[in-house]
Amino acid sequence: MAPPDFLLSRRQLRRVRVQDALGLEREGVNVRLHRDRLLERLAVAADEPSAGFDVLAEGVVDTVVSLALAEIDERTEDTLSVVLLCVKVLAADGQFARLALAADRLRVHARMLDVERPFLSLAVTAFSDALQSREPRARRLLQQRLGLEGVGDLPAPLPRVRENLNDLLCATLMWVALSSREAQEFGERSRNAFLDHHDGLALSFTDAVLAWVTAANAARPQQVLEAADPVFASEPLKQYVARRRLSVLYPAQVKAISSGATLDLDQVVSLPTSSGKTLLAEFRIVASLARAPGTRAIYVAPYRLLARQVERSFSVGLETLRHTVRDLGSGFDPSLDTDALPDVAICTPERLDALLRASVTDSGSQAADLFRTCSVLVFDELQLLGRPGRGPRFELILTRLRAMHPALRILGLCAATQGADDIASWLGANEAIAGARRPTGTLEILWETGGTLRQRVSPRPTEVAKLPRSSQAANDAAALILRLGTQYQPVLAVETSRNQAEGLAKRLVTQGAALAAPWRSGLTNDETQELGTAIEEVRSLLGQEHPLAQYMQQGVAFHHAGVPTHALQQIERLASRRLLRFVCATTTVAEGADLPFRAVVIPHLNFAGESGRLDRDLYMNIIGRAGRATVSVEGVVFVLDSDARTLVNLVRGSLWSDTSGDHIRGRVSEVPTLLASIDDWTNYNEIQSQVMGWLGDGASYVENQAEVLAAQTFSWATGNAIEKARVRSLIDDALHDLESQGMALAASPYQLTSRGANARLTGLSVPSVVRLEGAIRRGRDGWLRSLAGSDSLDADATVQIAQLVLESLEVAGQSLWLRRASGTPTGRLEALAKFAAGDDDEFLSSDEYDADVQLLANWMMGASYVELARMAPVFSHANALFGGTDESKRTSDATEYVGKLSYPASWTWSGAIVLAGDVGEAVPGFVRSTIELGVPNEGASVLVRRAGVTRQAALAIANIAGTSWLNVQEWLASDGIELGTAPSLTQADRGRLMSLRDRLLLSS
Amino acid sequence: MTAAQAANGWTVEIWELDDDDVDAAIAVYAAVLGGGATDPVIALLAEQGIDLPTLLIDEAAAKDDITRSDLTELIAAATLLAVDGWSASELHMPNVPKMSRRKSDSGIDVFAVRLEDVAGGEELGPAEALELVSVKHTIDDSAAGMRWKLATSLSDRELSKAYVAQQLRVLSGHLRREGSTLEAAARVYFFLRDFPKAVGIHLVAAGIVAPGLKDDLAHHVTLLPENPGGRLTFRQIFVPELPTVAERCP
Repeated sequence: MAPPDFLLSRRQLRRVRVQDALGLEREGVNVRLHRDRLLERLAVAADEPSAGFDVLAEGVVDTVVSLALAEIDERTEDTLSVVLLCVKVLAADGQFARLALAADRLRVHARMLDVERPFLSLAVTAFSDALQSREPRARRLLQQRLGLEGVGDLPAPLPRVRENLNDLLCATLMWVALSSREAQEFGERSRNAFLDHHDGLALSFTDAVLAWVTAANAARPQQVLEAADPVFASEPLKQYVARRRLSVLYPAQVKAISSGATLDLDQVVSLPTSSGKTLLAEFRIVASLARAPGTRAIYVAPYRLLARQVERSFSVGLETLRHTVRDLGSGFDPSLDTDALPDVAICTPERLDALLRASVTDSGSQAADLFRTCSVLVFDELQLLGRPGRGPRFELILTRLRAMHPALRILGLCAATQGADDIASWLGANEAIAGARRPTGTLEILWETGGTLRQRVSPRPTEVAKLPRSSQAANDAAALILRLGTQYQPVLAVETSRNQAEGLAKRLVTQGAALAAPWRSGLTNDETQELGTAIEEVRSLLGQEHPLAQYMQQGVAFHHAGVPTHALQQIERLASRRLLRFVCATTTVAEGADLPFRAVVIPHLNFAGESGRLDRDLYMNIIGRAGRATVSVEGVVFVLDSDARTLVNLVRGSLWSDTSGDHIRGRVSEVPTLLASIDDWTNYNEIQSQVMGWLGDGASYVENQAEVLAAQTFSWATGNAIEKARVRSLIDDALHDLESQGMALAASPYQLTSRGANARLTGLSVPSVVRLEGAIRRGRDGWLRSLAGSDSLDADATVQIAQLVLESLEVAGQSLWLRRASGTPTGRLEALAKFAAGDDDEFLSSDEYDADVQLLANWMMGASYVELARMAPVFSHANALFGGTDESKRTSDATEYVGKLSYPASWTWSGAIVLAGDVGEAVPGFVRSTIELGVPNEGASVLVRRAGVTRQAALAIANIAGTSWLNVQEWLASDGIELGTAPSLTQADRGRLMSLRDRLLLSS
Repeated sequence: MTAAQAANGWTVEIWELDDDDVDAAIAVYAAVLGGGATDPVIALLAEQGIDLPTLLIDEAAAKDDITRSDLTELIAAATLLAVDGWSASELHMPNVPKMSRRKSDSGIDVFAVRLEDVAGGEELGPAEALELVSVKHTIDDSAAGMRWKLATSLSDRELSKAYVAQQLRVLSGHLRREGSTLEAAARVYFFLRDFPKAVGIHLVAAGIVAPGLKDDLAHHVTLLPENPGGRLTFRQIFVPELPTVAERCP
């Protein structure tokens, strides 16, 4: 008989998984038939000897996963034998993430055998534990149940029949595998015995265990690290690795380490999402610091959320080695307000840029030390080089860094993408370490407007189900999400806007009300309390009646820029603990968050951006949230198609196209010099700021400056002749502009003027610097000087500060006055140009400008988001910022407004301090935090930063304890929290304060 | 074999053994199973310090039943040599040699497989064959239970593809141990295609009773479930003095 259509069977099994996920009838698919048909392939794959890690063909992995997940009504032993064979195949290929999840299936079936075949059940349970890195637990269980510890109550003896003897040997083999180095030899002899006895199930078990033992031994962190890098043979690093308690490394990590990722070389590691790049970076840092004691590492994380996660992860991981880890912040700030530099500094590219500029100045000795003593710089999400917007800035920062510190080794972490080799080559590395498979898989499903659900498979998408669509994508998305079984929760929906995200959350609450009660009743007491603590905090931030708090009670949350940071963190934490059912987010959550979503839904395709539609880069990022390692064997992504003219065929023609260009290339050549929008203006000024930075970096005194700088860029390295010419011309234009604005002198070559040297340290655009210079002149002998020595700001001071920072075009770009100045992008650009040129009367006398000043000043004074929303003007267009009277919407507006303004405002303030010279030096450092964090005194700002408490809590404590950090420390040390002198605090804040107090006591 | 007929799509054969046949079977039993060697499973367990008596206990009363089972499996295997054209080297018996005389695993008792050494072949050739035999005996007054167990053991629930795949892995392991290449041994998995209906696959139910139950068994054979497809044989084997035959074994 000719071979059956294996491909068809694979497709049918995937189809059933999608139908099951959606609770649809299995439309005529005979699961058993297709599962059985694939057993031939599975058996052949299981007999193949291991050829190393990550070498299985995608089709084989897909087949194995399909078989492992197929639910069939059959004898438990049959299912077990199939899953064990799957485990065998996956283990031989080192697919540890998938194995950990297949272990759940083994455990379920082991439980079913507990009465009839207790020793087999024991063996399989222990194996499942081992697959999930719980080897000590598995050992204890076996020791106890096999009577090896000599104590405890053993179960009543079983009849001495063949099955029980073989099962007992399986359990004993598991014991040997976990406790002895002789597992292979003992396993081979057991295997022979089972072959003799024709016990196929025991044979499959033995094969699976032996494959896992072999693979796990080859993936033990200490072994892999020591083989690739001798520094890991040192005793302190051995202890560090042991205390890291990692059972095995993923194949991608093994490959990267074996390829030299921890050695002191320039490297680019290009791996799929969820492959464990951060751990690789940690190993590299540990190795570099061990090889060169006293040196440091810098970790550059382009997203704040990612920086927070990395800091948390490193703080735990590096504790054993007593390496200090500190987030140096995200904003552009050239000052380093720290007594001692951390061993590992985490920062954003913007902060790195600020420190780089400061490092060549007299006042920047700490920054200079940081770079001088840095032995490795890790740059995460390096693929962003190829993205418009921030890409050119990152590219030029790295260009300058390479020029200033050629000996500094760089480890670039990059998502799996084409072009990583080009980045590696540009950074002077060998070819990128790349080519690994994602630890888990993803099913991508397109829900077409006609109601057909189609799965992305090669060579063309295939139909997996039918489900009618309505005319409203949001309604369809809600219905689809509610159909997904609880095992898919929390489900992430990524929406195009705040309104859409909130609207979808509301739909889920109302349409899924019946499902909320059983969900809540399924929570344990601790979980209910944890949820309650989070909701309490959200209420304290947004008001008692805010819908977010109400939705969270139903297990639904929205996550967007209009939600305060503390509430976002609570949502992320609850999602990671699976204490939410649905999270409706904008793209904020897609940027690097490691959250456990098994299913992701994309209801709309018209995302904001240049093209007005979901681009491939963002799509890849979003689907990377589904099915992360340790969450599920595979994630599932549903995209709702649209037949809108601009979106038609977007998914199949572009997002799913294997040939669509996702090759990373430099973007500097795309920055226009003829400015048609505020984005153009911003991008050009970014380039100009970088050129200004370069002029002061110390390596720019050369002929043909534009050519020299251009030739060092990634855009030049990857560009054609026309693109190279554009890069050179752009830099040339920037140099000329700097000269015409008085920031540089054309002295063959260009040099910065003293104004330019100051402006360079601000990182701001030249027009902003010019405006700020005037404002500082007006205030330097008045209110600005009066700030010296204070530890608290009054209302007048905050108004002055607000007016000052609103001078910068970076802040103005986010202001109300500019939004209201014109309804068109061109009109707003013209308004900004007039403002830059000093023609600003009509803007500065507008009500909106007054509102900007008042809102920013009140933010600094500690006004809550609700209060800010109430004092903001009411605009008529309901969807506009501060449009309409809905309080919760306005509160979200206030949060988003402040979020967008406070970042450039605090940056501007740092720049203003530089421009103010000696007066600036006398201004207390907490003012920057006041602008960024929204608390008006030193004590409260340090509390927010170091304890992570909310603004309300920090303000309340500063009110009692005093406004200086010293006052607050004394209050904390005097047990003020317990002594009842504490104000009313949320549980979350109380916990944070206790934690800070403990840390302070410990350090003292 | 004295007769062959059909019932519900099954081929039904009748085998009547005489005393000489039984003596021959006992002689084989003595040669193969009476060696007194140690079961490797028990040796492996002992090596790891597993205290068997605390975990498993002997049921001495089951000895006769176990011995009878072993003997009847040998007799059933002999039928494959006698009429199905197999050689002894092509037979695989899960419980032979079993050495420590424990009760056998449920399921198929005799496997016979023949493969050609066809490099790169993608399907089975006409000479390639697989025969699976389920063996049961009874000394009760009725053969009803035995007939039901036999039919069940060859049903698609008991003889599922997952089970067959397990057993074929064992066969593949045997073949490789005997010197076959990985590729050659993997041909055994071709039998999973259209199992059990494919040409070359033969399922046999061997029901062994004493001659006194002849009429009863003949009646119960008519109650066999309809053959859903494929080659199915019900082999009635009558063994003189079956209830006491174990006493004659060493």
